[in-house]
Amino acid sequence: MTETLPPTGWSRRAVIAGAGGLLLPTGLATPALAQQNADRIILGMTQEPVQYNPLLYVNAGTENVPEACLFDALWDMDDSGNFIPNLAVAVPSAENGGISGGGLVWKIVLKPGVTWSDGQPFTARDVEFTYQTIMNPGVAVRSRGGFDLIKSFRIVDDLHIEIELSRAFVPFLWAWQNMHIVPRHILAGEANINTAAFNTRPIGTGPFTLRSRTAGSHAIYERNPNYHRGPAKVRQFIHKIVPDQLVLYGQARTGEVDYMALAGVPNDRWEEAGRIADRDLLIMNSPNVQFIYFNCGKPMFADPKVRRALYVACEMQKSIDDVYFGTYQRTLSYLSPSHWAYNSALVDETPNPELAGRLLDEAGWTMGPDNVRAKNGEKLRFTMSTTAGNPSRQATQALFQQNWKRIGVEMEIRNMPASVVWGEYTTRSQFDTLLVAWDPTVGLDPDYTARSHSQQIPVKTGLGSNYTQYANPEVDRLLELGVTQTATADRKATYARIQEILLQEVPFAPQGATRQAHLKKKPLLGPKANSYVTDITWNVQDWGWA
Amino acid sequence: MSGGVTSAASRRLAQRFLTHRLAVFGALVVVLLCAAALFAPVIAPHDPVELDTSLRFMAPFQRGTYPLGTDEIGRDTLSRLLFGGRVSLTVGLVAMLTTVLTGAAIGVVAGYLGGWVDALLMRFVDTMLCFPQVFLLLVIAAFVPPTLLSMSLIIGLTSWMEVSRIVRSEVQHLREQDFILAARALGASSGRIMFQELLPNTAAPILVAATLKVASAVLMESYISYLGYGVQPPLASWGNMLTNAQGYFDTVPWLAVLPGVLITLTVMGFNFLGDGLRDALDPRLTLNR
Repeated sequence: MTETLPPTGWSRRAVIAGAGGLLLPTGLATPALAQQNADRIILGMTQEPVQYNPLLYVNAGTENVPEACLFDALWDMDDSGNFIPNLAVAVPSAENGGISGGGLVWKIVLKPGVTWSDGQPFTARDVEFTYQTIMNPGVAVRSRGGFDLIKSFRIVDDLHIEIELSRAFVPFLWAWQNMHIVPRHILAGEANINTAAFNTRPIGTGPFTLRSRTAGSHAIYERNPNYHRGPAKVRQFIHKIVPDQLVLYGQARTGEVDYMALAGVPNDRWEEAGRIADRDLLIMNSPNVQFIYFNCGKPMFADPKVRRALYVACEMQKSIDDVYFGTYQRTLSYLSPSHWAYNSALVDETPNPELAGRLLDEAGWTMGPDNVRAKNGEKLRFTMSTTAGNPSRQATQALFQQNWKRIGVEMEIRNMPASVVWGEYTTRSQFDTLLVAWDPTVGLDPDYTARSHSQQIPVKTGLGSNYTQYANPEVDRLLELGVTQTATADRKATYARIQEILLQEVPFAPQGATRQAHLKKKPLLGPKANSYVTDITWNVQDWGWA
Repeated sequence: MSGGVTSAASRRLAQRFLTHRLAVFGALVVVLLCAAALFAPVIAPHDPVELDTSLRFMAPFQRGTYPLGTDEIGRDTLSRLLFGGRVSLTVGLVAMLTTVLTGAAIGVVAGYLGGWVDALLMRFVDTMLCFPQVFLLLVIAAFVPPTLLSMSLIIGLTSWMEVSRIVRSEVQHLREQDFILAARALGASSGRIMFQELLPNTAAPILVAATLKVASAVLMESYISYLGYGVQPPLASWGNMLTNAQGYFDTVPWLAVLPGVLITLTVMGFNFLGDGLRDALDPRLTLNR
């Protein structure tokens, strides 16, 4: 111990000053990290990927990063809404002979000469294994949508596949776009893929390989020199995790990270961020729409009139303007207004407290002496839940609470930690109402079967994500029709009608399409908004410095 | 004892307390804050949950109807501070009382009885101390529906361990003293010795610990509210006002400063008060200020 003490004759102050002086040249004074390295890109996000297996992850947006860096799908979606080939030579279509038999037979040709990053060749067997893994009941894949319709999967040779579907399913392209191919030679021998070592030490065909990962801090990816679309433009790609949004924003401003993505610049700082000289503020339309979810299984919300009344009483546009600083885009359906299938004929009825009051009167909920409506002795009083600790959502709830109070409805806010509120409380439909932002379930296809078909209520049928327990035979019929129609105009008409019914019956009341603002250094080229995917690294192989 | 002696003793106590200037200041602050919280419905210029988003982020002293400005969704800051004080002070005081009562009782019993009772109780304390308090709080809070009382009790019941340790060591030292031997010789029961002889003599460290607990309980409330188990929005507490303000700290600092100042004042007030009470109550201390 004694040797670390300062020699006698030195005052404590002198020692501290001396130590401070020694530290200065080591980089505390000049932020070394802020210097740009032409061979490296640092991407900053607030959430950390934990699952590197592209079939198993659930946290899209965050876990899309390792997926895009390490793996490839048969085809991708570009920023103008077109499928572009990746591991397949071409995207199957009726014109190129890839789709035949009335949409039932799909022929896929794979790119020759592609290898996994450990040098093994990529073949049709890997695609077949990926399909088998997705359908394996023992594997916790995030979606089987579309794959469950495969009647037969035939390998013609190493590069040719023929798939037959049991019924036509137009979003089948989305199903494959959403599921990246995993290596058979590594995973086939695994007894339990859910816990395989591969899930943290992945091998893929993608533009990068995983060099190291420091939990809670960052992951380092190295360029894959043999990448089949040509080597990436930078040698190293670092995915850095900074849980606090404001701290990450600070690092993006000082240049400690080159690109700040999810969860984006805080809504109240967009203007300020847009004025920073050598930075670009990218506005990202996301496929997520924020809703009020009504639990139609509760007697109070069984009557569509009550749900519609509650919806029209809300100051939706005001909530976007004042709480989200106008950064969200008002939408009247489960799709963002920029989506090709969005029904632009829908009319915004909010806010209309008079209409709301009338609808509630008609539904039999009459104003009581305590200014709370009641019917058969039961008061119109319920709870609303969302993730605790999200100030913008709390403010939105407070505004709706005030809107409803004026029409004689009492709402109590009961927020919980994310893992609790989005657990069984949601999936077993235990809530009264929720404030939630969700995307369509089959890529960006307008199909909304999983969230609104009466056979998709998990608490009743054991599958799906129709947590509002909404059931309408006409909507069921239209949803079943929509996935079989191949002409875009027909599909547009079908989904327009679905959106119209949903806005009349309001199982979920749309507030706005969420948007994020990302901040990147000007010389960093490549990052591009793509409103068709949740993945901001969808074209990561093209990222590089000017 | 006759009434005359008691009143003389309390007069002396009051005298000693009143000469302690900081203590008087502390007491004043505490009384003022409690009164403000108590009379919040009368004093507050607005409903604390009434929002007007067109008036958000108004700075203090801009408009007479909003003397301390408005928050991020246009609610009156003064009204929220007043009503938030009710929540924060209730949590602080109830949690402190729970802490002190539980901690002191366990500490006295363990310290005086010793032996296996002491060993058992102290191992229980060790076990409780093993878990980080926030974790413990969240586990209990997950099973108990959040109300003001349940939250205060939970905070109190997860933070009494330090008090019990302090009291125990004090009692171990005191029980060998002559006045306890005398009490024992007179045939006093264990209960009487513990709670009428020993406990009053440990008042000084207990009071100091208690004042500190008020502060930590106020902050603890904000943690669990942030995690979703405490006060639900739009109800205000100083803790959640502080938490909500953190996103605007560099642009709208007063939103954080105002509840921060009140928490600081509360903590300081209780500390000075506790200091003064200890000095006044401690018969061994000669007053020299």
